[in-house]
Amino acid sequence: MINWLQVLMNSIVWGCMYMLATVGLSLSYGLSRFPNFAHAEYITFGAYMAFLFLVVSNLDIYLAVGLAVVLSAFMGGLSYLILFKPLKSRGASLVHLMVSSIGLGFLIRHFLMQTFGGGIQSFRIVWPTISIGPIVTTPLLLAILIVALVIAFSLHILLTKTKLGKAIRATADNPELAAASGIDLNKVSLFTWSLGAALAGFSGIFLAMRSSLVPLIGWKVLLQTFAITLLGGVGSFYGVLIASFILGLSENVGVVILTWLGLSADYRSAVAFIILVATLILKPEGLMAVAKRRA
Amino acid sequence: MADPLMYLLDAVAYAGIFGILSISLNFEYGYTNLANFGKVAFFMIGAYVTAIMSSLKYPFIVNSILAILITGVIGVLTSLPALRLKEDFLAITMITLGEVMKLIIKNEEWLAGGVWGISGIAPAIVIPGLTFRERLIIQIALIYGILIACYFICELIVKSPYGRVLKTIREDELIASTYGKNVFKYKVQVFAVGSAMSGLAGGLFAQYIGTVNPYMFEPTVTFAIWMMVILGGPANNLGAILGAFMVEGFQRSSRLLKDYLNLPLDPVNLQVMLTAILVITVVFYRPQGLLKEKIKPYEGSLHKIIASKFMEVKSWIRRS
Amino acid sequence: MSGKSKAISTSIALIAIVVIALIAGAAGYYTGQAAIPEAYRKGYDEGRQAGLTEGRQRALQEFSPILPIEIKVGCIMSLTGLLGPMGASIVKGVQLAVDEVNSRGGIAGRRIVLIVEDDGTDPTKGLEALKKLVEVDGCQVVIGPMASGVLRAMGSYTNEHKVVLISPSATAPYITTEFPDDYVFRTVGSDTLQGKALGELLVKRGTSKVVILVMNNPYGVGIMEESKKVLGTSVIKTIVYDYSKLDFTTELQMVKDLKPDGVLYVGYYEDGKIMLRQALEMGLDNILWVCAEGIYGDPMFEDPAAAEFMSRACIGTRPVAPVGLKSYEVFKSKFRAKFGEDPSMYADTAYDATVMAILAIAKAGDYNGTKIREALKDVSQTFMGATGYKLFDENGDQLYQVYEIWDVVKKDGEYKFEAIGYWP
Repeated sequence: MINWLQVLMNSIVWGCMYMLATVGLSLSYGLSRFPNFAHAEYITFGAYMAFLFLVVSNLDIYLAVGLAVVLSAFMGGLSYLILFKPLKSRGASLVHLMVSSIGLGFLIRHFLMQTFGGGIQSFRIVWPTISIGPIVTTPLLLAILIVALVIAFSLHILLTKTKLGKAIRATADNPELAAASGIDLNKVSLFTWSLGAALAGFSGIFLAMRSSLVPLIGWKVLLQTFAITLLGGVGSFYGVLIASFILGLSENVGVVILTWLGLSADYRSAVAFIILVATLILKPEGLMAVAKRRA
Repeated sequence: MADPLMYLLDAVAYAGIFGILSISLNFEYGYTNLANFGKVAFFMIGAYVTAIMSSLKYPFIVNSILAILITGVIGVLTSLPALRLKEDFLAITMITLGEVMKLIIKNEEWLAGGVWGISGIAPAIVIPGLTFRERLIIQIALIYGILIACYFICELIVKSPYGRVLKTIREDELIASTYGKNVFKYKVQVFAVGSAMSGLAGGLFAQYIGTVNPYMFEPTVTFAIWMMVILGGPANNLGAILGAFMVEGFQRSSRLLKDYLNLPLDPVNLQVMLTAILVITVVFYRPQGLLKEKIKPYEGSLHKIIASKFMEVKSWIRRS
Repeated sequence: MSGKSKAISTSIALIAIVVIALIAGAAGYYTGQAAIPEAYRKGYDEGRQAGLTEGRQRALQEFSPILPIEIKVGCIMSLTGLLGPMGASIVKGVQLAVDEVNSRGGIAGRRIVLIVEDDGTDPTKGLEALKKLVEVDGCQVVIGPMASGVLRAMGSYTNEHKVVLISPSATAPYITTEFPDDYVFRTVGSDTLQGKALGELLVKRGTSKVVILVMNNPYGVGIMEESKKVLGTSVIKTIVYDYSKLDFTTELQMVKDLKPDGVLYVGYYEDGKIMLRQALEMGLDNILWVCAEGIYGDPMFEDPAAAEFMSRACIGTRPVAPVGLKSYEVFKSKFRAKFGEDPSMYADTAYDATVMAILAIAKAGDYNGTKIREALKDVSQTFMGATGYKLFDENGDQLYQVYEIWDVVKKDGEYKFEAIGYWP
């Protein structure tokens, strides 16, 4: 018999990780209106920075993670300021923005490969096992759940209660109107890009601690984060929340079903992609887009 | 024995194959603004169709016609749902579809050899008793014959009234549909032609290197083709070919240069980083690519350009 | 297009090309010497301890034929990509052999120049690298590649151009059947043998319910097919997993729920570290894990969780030199002296491949692929390398292969591989 509770647990953990990885992409996509392929490399960058501080420099774990997240935020802000903002002001087309973000992604990835080497790195931490009833888990997974919850809640507060959050939502809805009503588009974008990259870096650290650190770590989840973004509806935070868990669930349940059917578990990513394509055909604006417009 | 000319010619042959891909993408993106980020899927299907047919001992001409037909049909099938999407959604959907197709080929061993791939694909033209150089020259002649054919087909299409409709769709779909053009139908047709062309390139690739396996068709191939088009110049077929030569040249030269220069960086990293910087620079300072689109110089603003396109379309409608 | 704008566009294109050339030029400075990638630059010139046997030394000096002044030997390994983490050490094995011969005067005074290319574990790039080595550098002997998939893409080119290709680690069974009587050799046994060895090991350990957990590539699927022939009905489930994933908990959960008494696992370092770390977290260490050589090596111990799991649950097989072989110890000490580390998996077979290639060049007396191939077959008749006898059969496959059965032991917090038996 399959221990479905454990499968559910894995799905939730993955949902949380996907959520952290994707929120930034979705928000910056909604704000700047193009998919940033370099977002995957923010994930990688955060993980490598944590590795640098934690393993190479031997700092305290909280300090190391904090520094890595701050540096990722810096990276995100910088790439917006140096590359995407000037490009947008020059009137670059959507495709040009996408292609230059691919270029930026390659640049960051190969810079990291040059600095840290192309090999596999490890955080060298053994997580003790905790059993809760039939579920087996580790402190890291619990930490991921708690962090994701806290971040989701604070993002909710940020987006609905604060002036900045309202400005972000207003800008994503209608940039011209937002600019006309006195919102500093530049500041809002810079903040969103930095925040998104910081969260991506955070998720990268978790990903790397959960598995191992390789230069392709971000690239391996990039298509999934795109799928979540589109599934949830571009720019919609709540959409990302729901879509992350749908994807986490479909991938993990997918493995079980595929193996039952005698198919290769390699198809697990295909399950997520097929859900994405189906959504786009049936409901191109994503799950939450309508709700977002009404709000 | 050593024959550096062969290596150069090999690079030329590769550039030719990628030139076809780059032209096909240019046809889709440069002229009609269809952001197809799933190029590698059609390239792969073309290669696999040729490989499978070749293992059944069919001649290349049959294989390539079949490759064209199948990729064309798959192009239509994928475009029917996908083309209703905006270009960024289309891009992501196409990458995803490419990955799914690769997964299918990788996992279904009965279909196309699974993880093992297919090898022993016969070259298109087999003349016994030739030297390597002669054989390579025959290959290049074949590849460039097809490249030139593709080039002229594209040029003919885009210079025809049909092509003007495509350009109008690129500039503003609304205008095209206002003039009674079924924009969707045009897009599907363009997508089918572009896909068929990449399928043909895939067939050429398979018979040229003689073996295919799923690990050859990663999304990075798509990105490379995009870089070729963006570098060379969208909506300029010569630019697309130039881009193919440049990207292929970069890759080869980093391999060669590392033997003579003591590079401070790993050659692969250096080459990728330089290519990325070059692409970003081109997008920044010369978004129209190294070779610009050849358009008749229009006076005045974008509005006027669109208006004059209007007139072109209008006069064409009147004529036809 | 107007003349002026054409001129501008052409000049901009030219400027762009010039700028790129300048950047490339400024990035490096000319030294006239082959650059060595960072990964194995360390230790390149350290130590010149030679250890060619007297007989071989004489064999190298006896022939003074029409050889080129510099004998360029090619080497294609995966320094990046999936197999990247294994590649650097294997190149060191090749480097060791070449340096050893050079420090003893090369082949009749001719220096051997090693040209290393990276294939990125990508068949297309690998073929391109081979073309570069053969066509630009004129190599007639190439050591590599590592991956069977890459080797497959090179096979027909090698045969057509009559270049000898010796792979130290491509173990897929089809290499034998696909290129019979050819220029492709390998200094390691086929997975047909290892699949059998793994299967028999599981049977010997008294397992009756086995889950096969393999990566979805020729290596994993190849061993799966071979071992199934041995294991028969005791296989209760086969899980072929996507090795590019970062999480295998659900696959592992299925293994756990099936309650097997043995797991046959095939993976590489990258996915292996993740798999075994998560297996520890899931508490799968009460099952016997029998693993192939893809995860054998000290890099696995960089992840303490994976190392801990291996010490608790894993045994496995790997192709090795026969029991108590002196020449392996000699090789190991030489490797240690030169690079300050123990040779990893396949550095030894790469060393043997290189020594055999050099001896074959000397025997052939001419830098010519066809002659070297014949000579290589002769050399293999009597050759005793670091990994034992390397007698080739008519397909260029190694005729005998001994597999070590390894176990991981933990001593004072340090993990170590230990041999606990041999197959056959």
